[in-house]
Amino acid sequence: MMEHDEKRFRELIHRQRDLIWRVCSSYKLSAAWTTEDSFHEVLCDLWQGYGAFDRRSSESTWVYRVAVNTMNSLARKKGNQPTALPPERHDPSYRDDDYRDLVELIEAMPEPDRTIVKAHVQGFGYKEVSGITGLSIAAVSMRLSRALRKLRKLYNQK
Amino acid sequence: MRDFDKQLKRYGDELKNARCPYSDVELDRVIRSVVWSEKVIPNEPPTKRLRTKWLWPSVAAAACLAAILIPLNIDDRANGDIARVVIDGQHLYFACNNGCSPEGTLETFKTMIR
Repeated sequence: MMEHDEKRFRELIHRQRDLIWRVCSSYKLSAAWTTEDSFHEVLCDLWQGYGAFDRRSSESTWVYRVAVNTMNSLARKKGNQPTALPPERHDPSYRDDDYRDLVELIEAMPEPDRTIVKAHVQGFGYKEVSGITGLSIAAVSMRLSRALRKLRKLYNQK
Repeated sequence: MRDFDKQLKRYGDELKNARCPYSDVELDRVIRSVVWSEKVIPNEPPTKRLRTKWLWPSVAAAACLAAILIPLNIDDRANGDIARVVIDGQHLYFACNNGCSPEGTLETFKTMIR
């Protein structure tokens, strides 16, 4: 990597820091993994992929995609599954049963539905979610619709 | 009937409101560490990254230990072993490029200073 790449990478991370943190903090991993650890992992993957970023998708879509892939990869690894609620889940709002039920249902969703729902509620459009997941726009639309219908049903049954 | 739409909106709002807690200076330090770890061996990114960290009681204590550990970096390229220490405030991070676990790398460094 050239010096100017490092400078541009640093600027990109400064622009997208909240987005990266948001993805990291939305995953439940084992107690050994703080959001800070996950953030570092995502930064490593972003740096390694930065040279290949072809700008066909927007910067935020690319960053979100890499962050989600990193977090999904970490979540799949043996030993990284949560054994207890992470500290951020102990906040007062999370003690609200209705809210907690919904969060748990979303976190238990299979991929790529979980990623699609999370991106949707944060305001990403179909095209951006398509860029994040690699699915067609039509597939994203269909999956989102089905996932929300199922989520609503499970939530009302809980 | 519980209000699904209200709770879903709240979930989205909470995600959107999450903010990275690093100051600009702290974030630059983290980025430098990440870029530096990649530079350990260009074209051969570390398979284990800045994962294992060792918290010390103060920045000064971490700096003192780093002064001892950093010159001890394992550099045995013939065997594919490169392991490094990165200091970040009160934390020492251990990065390596080969199949060693980061925990193993930390233990190696601990052994070297005993």
